[in-house]
Amino acid sequence: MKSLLSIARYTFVQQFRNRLYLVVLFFGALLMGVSLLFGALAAEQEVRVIFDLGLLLTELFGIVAVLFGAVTLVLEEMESKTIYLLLTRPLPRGFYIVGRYLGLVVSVVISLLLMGVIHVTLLGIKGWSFDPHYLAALPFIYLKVCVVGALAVFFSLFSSSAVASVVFTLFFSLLGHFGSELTFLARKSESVLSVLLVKTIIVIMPNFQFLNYRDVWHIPGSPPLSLWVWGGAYAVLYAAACLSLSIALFSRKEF
Amino acid sequence: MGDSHPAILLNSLTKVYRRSHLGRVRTTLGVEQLSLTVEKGEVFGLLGLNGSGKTTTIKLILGLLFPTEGTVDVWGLRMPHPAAKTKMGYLPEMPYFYRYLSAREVLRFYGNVSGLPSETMGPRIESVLKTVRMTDHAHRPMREYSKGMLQRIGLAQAMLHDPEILIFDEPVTGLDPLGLKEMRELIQSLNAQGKTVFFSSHSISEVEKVCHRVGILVKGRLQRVISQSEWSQTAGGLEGLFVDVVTSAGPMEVR
Amino acid sequence: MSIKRTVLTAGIFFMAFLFSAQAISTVFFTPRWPLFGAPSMQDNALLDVSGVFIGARRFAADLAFIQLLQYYGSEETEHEEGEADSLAAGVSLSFYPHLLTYARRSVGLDPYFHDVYLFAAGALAFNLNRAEEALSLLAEGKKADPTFWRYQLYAGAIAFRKSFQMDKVIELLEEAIQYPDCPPLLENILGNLHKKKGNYARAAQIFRHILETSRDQGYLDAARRQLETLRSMGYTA
Repeated sequence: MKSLLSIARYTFVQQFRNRLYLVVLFFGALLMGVSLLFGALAAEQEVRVIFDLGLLLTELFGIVAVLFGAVTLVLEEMESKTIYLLLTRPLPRGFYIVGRYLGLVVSVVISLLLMGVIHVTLLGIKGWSFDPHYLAALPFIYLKVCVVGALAVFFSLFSSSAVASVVFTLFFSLLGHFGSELTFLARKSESVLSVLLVKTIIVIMPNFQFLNYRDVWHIPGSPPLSLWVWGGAYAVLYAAACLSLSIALFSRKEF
Repeated sequence: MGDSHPAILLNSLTKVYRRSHLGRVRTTLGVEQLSLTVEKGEVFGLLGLNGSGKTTTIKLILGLLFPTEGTVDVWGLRMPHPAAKTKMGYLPEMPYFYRYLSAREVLRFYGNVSGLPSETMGPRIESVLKTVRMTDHAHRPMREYSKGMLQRIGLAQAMLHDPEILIFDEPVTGLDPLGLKEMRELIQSLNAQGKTVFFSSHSISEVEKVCHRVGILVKGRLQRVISQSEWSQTAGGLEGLFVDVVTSAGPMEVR
Repeated sequence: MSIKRTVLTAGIFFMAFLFSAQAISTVFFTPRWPLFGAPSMQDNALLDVSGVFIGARRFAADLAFIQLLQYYGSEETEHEEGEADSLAAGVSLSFYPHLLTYARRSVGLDPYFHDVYLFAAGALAFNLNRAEEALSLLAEGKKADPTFWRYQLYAGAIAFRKSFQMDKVIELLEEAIQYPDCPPLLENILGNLHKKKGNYARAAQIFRHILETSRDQGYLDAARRQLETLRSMGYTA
């Protein structure tokens, strides 16, 4: 466990010493300011727009940061051969993958917390009264980021190409929001093959509807927060499944 | 791990590299039917021309590559085995480190991954830094180091956890005469402490100064193992024997 | 961990999340969002689909609402808001012919965006004299969210306005403006109605409230002008 935490700690430090990462963070903060522009155009709905856009940007930047972080983390280390001196030590390969992943998501989540502070400050300036739904939305954004990160780690090991990993992960992430539509398609289709194909896609892709609290909390009859906890369990299990497969792939990698 | 076991035992080791591209599979022979024993407390040199399989052999011992056929045992443990890895220290031909960390941070990181106890970590790090004469530079980030400095830190991390076997891949390549002397003295010093040293090289002069036995690889096959007493009594020395072996070896089969 | 053990672990996790997905979906999967059908405005189809794809229906609806405001705020022709002549003649104003389409685009993305229904219905009914469009929009809102009873309140006000029962309209609008989601458009209309009826003190109070709470520059300017006029008549809030 000490070695796993060491890997996680190092990864965390590496992220914050990486200038590219800091640039991404800077732009994230900058775009928070852009939400003020949109808010100004929305007249009475200014606070709603800043609220929605801020949460959306927090999520998008989290996903971008974790996606590129995950892809470069493993692939870059394999290409730069810094991994040799780790794998020749008594470090189980699974610990390496999990440690890198944990360090990455923790660093991204902390960045998102910083963006959240900026966002709440902007909302406060615009007269927003604190809404507890905001606090509830944040953990689900972090969980989405964790799932995307796990997917990105898997695809980076599966494809060994940074571009392919990014494309596959984004594709899965986008499909993950289209669950209702895909299920509707499956129900309406008469072809057995297309039904099977769609249902397979629905099962394999991450179902982000279970984590999209920030978009649906206002809908009457939405499940109570206590049930959304199951969505959190789903996210943890999905990420764990991706990491397990990643460990299996990594266990057979030769260097 | 008992004293009755040899330090390293390679049994009919074969490694075939397979690369597939657009459906076509190309195979390259790394090593073939390599059987070798390295006894405890021995300094063993693996000699061969470029592409003869030296690095492949070392990576198979360390568990960075997996054999196509045959087995690798370290202290009687079938590789890859975590317990065996605690007893091995590795210096790659060109050590790659994390650019953002200083030497001390890198060594602390590797120490944690190797399972070094916290209380002994600090003194141990300072001890190996002193051995490789890098104490004064240890606070600087690795990206500022020259090639020679990186090599020294590579040695430091290999010795950090006081392993019983040290495996060096081409440790003398690119060293100046002073560096060669220091490396030679270090190997002898480690051996004097009872450590087993296994290293690859194509520098015959350095090998014959420190090794007890030498194995000669030609095109993936171990052609001959020669003891110090044998080459010291031969007119042409180790160089003459090496040339005889290399020139008399048949062509490699390409599968 | 051996590869067999790792794959087995992955298989167990996979079954676990399939199970939890199935269990969750019985609660989550009652479709609350409308399925993304043909977009109501082809020009913005890509933008709207993108919003759905990234799970940002709320923000996509916000953007659509901003575009609605920009459309409604654009100068089609010189006209006065509220409209005495057109009201009296019962003539529908043909300005902003696509206002209902813009509104439908926004609520098509987020059917629970109450403010869009209220704003657009208010503009259609009270400014543009297109009560039928307004009522149809409110009916769609009520269908999406029957619990939001203010749709009925606004529909009632519009219905009374159609039959020129202005006292009833005023009564219902007075109730509507008690709620924070009442658009300043309706406050402005109520202020104008009070002013036309000679209730200048009440009109001044309403315009003062708009000045203190609204974020829309257009309504702030209109409220300022109205207060100037009322002040010159000796009435202050």
